[in-house]
Amino acid sequence: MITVRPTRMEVWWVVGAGAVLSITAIVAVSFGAVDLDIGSVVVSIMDRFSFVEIDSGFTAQQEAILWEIRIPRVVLAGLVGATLALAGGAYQGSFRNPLADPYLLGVAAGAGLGATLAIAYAPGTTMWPVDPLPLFAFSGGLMGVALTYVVGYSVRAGRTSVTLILGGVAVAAFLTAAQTYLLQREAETLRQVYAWILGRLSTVGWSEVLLILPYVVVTGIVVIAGRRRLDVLSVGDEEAHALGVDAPRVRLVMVLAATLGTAAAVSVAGLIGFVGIIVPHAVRIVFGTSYRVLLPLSIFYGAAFLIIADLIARTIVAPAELPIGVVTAFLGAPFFAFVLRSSRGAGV
Amino acid sequence: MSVPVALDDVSVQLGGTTILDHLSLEIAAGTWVSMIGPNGAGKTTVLRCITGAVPYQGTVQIGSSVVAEMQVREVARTVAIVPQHPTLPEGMRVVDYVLLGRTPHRGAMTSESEHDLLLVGQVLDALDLERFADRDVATLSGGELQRVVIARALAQDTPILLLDEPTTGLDIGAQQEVMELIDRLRSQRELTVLSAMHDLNIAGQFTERIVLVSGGRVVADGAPGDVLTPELIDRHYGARVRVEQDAGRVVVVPIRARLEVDESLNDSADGEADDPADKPDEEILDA
Repeated sequence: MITVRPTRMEVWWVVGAGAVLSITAIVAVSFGAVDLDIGSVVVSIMDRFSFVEIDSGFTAQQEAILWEIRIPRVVLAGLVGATLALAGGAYQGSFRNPLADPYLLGVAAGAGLGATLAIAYAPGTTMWPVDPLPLFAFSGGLMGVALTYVVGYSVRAGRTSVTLILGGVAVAAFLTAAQTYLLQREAETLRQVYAWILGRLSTVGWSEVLLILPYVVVTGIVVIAGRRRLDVLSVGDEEAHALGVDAPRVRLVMVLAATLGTAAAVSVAGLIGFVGIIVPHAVRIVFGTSYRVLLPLSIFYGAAFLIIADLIARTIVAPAELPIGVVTAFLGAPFFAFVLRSSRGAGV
Repeated sequence: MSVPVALDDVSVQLGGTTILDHLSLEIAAGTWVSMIGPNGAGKTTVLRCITGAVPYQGTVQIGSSVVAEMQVREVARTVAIVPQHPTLPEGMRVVDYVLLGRTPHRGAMTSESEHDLLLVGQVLDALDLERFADRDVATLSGGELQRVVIARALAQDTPILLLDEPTTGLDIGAQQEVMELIDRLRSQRELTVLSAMHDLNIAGQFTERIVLVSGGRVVADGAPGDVLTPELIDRHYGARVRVEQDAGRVVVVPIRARLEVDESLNDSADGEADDPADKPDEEILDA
């Protein structure tokens, strides 16, 4: 009898992904308006995280740049990238649609509208017990994906994964129009929101990181815990039911979790497209289609991808900065075309 | 341990159309029953009622439990189904696909146990699928695929096995192979088997009892010789056939209709329910 070897996460895949992420992060921390010595960066980080006193040789100013500007920004980029990639993978599994992505499903546009409402009409965040921005963004994102689902699946004949995406396009256009209307009415917040729409990770200090961390952690735990269920969903709702899995419930939980994470990411970073489609697909091509492998690896590679994109965004036209959404779209749109071409077998 | 199945006064309406019309059917523990009937008769819907995949009025029991009162997972530990058109996840390996059958036996967050792996190994071995273990399910031929889907159902390790047109789309050799396989597994594992069948000969050759479903009702039920008669087949399929005996088994031979219009053919074509749930089996049998 043969030894059955199921598809499982290999330890060295995780180790490799962790190494890629660490190297990316250290390189990204070292480059910027002021370049820092990579060796000293490593020493300074070790100094903070160990009980041993090591002198990195940095001046107080360099230390401040490293710990109050660079590292928070790289950590934020990592969290946002990991969340968007994970959410993209979760949406793809839930909707059994290789093209699903927070951006294309109208989640990001909905979250954007919600966040615009928060910026325009709920200023003075100190008045609120919690920051209203992620809550507004979450509600908007949920509305976006729900509308897309209804519109995309209202097609009775010829329903394919493309109809869902077309629904998402219509919903996103509508929500974006609503957002633009709001912006024109509230001209004084226009600049603030406009910068935000293109995606930005400019941050000083750790407040944004701390703001989204709880949401991101919840999303991560729920989606990773459900990764085996997404593999069962891949045989369709009825067969999943025959295998003892309540597919609509799994889908609901997954979509809620992914939307929560997306909304949190959108609320601090603006609209950053294509991460949710590029990263899970690249992982799929290299490591196979099983969600139990794909989702955990998407966290690492999503983080690394956005850290690199952000590094490009803040160095390529220095001293000016490109919006990070421009960089991801520039890399992502051609990749999307590639995915579209190669996924013909999946009913696209 | 064998478990019986009983449908009592089961009706199903989908989109205003009556699919099953007060249908009752009992299948004794450890027996194999073939369900035949024209396209849209409601065969697939009968199977879907047993797995609880479709809402219905009436009662479906497996063993002493009422399906409607059982949890999805509990049903999946008792009944396995081989769908007519399984959804094949692109890029999934055969082992991973067959392992999906173990889903109802483990928690949502636990990996497969050594027992799961051992059982799947045995199933792959029994179905002669070892060399396909690492193949992508989407690349298998019809006969190979059918064996793989049966393997997934067997990995579920249930006392009841439902098969929806298990021989459809297979060449004649693969048809016989699949049916012999089911027969062997049934007697080894004491399974209760209900199979929806298109091919009347295969049904007549392999099962002791045939149920003819037409218009959402059981219209004939008994030994192959009692159900596979030219009259019943004409009335419910609108087909002209000759029935022969071959070594104690019934053989149904389709005959081309004569050129003059046969009145009985027109009569029988009326009054058959159109079953949207049965859509997938449209393509075959224009006997």
